[in-house]
Amino acid sequence: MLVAEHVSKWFGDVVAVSDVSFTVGRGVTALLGPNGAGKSTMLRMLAGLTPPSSGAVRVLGADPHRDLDLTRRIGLVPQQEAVFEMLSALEFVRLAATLAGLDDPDGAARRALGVVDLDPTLDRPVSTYSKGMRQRVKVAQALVHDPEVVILDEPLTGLDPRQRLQLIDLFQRLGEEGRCVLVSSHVLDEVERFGSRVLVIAQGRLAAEGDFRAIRALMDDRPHRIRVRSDNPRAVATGLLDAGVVVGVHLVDDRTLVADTDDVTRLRRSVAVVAAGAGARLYEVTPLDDDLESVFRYLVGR
Amino acid sequence: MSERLSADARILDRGYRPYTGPRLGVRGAVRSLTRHSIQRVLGIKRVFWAKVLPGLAVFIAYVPAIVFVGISVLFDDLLADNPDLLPGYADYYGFVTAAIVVFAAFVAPELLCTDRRTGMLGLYLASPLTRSTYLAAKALAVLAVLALVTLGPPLFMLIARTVAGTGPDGPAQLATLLARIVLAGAVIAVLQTSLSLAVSAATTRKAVASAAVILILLGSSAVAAALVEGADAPAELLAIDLFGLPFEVVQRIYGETGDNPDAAGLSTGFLVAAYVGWTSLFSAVVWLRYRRLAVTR
Repeated sequence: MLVAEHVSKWFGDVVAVSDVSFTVGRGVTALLGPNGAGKSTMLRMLAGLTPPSSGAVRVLGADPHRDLDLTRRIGLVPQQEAVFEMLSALEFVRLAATLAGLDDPDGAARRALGVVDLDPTLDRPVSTYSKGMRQRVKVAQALVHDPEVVILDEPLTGLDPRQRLQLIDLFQRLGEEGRCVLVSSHVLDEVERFGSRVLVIAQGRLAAEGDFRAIRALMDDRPHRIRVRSDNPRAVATGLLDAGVVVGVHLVDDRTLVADTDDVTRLRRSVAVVAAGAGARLYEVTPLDDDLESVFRYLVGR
Repeated sequence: MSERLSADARILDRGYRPYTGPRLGVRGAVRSLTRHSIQRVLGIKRVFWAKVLPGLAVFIAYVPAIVFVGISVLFDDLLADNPDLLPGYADYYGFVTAAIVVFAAFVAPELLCTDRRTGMLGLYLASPLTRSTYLAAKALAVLAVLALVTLGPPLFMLIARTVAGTGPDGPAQLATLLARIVLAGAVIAVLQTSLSLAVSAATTRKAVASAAVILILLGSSAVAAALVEGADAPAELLAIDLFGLPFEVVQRIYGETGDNPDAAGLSTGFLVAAYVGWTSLFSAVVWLRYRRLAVTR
């Protein structure tokens, strides 16, 4: 549903996005990258707010910058506080519905506010809302015209954990409904909850795309780190080294060792056998760097 | 590290990638350096204070032209009976000498001294640029900026007067006047460019170079006047007046002579020879200086 083909964007001498190509389908995809990596510029191009300097962006098969009809099929939640402070949530979302040319803007606004769990009857200006409520108002205005593509730029920033969970649930629902939901975020442990598919941008270039666990599996230059807890970690470490399933072992304390391995599957199969052979009891075998944060750190740090 | 791919994921190589786009070669490098140098001296993409001096010089150069065009449009009838009320194109430079001297003293030192002082020259010479092409780019930049005040205002006057219907009669006169304006602007700019480049090639200190350019221009004029007018030396010694010489040549381009009666007695051929001689000498000084310059970083 979203396609970027060799997209570059520069502002004068500054290259914000450089030769980025990817495809995003239905469901939730996270766009990750450090500050200044080019995420917001990429999202702005996908939303049609700015054209690429070179390359092509396609949303639902059309050019979002030229095809104005496409704006009815895209919902954008910008990073900035883009709300009219003196309007109530209902008035603001109704305005968005009117601008989208909906027949029943009031009904659509009430439905959109319901989707984000906001009370349409709340009759006070948005300026008095909490950060989380304002964020949900922004999401509601993006959803009011029932778009097929929803683009959200840092929607979780500044929210408390409960508010984050609510929005993540919403993103998952939108993805399950068959929409294309692209979310940029810094909050990696939360991103992990709403989907495994990620696009990682670093220094304006695409570093990786796909399921982050599959990305981790592709990192053959980075040994996997596994924590093993046992009543005799020294014996287990010796056994693992003798079996040749680890490239390094670190004894953390008298109950714990951390093993580096290139082949996680083989290690998982061997560790119980090795422990039994050494007469040791196993308590825990836990991967330490298979989470999204580790994958992200390896990708942007290399 | 190359791109790694599986059914569900892709890791892209973000390491070094060779440039595969078009290479513009020496011409592109000269063009780029010229453009960058012009931007630098005009203060484009620089802080506000870097724009003040060039902005002021350009303002000074264009104000008389704007005033003259305004007068010629508002008082068309009066000027038709008294065409000498407004100065001609050849006399225009008398109103903008300050701007010309400021640019001559400021531009070349900014472009040449800074590069040697900061070591940028070494970086430039590591590119497709050679010493000759580097100097050509810098000379083009100085020439272009000086042309902004020597060529721009008369050209503006010609265009504005032509559009307002108070310009030359017919295409032939227009073409002749245009050629004279371009030639006159170039004559002033080329000598000032070669002089200021030669002075800038001798020192890495911008302030010293700027002061030296002003001193040479005004000093040579004063010495020439003292010798010819005060000590009754031959008028040919006016050829050492580096400030007045190009303006006298400009008068000849327009078929006139300047206000200096001593210079009026000199032949156009002698003035042109003196002009070409000085320009060649200054250019040779720059070229020799840079040919022998040891670039260590």
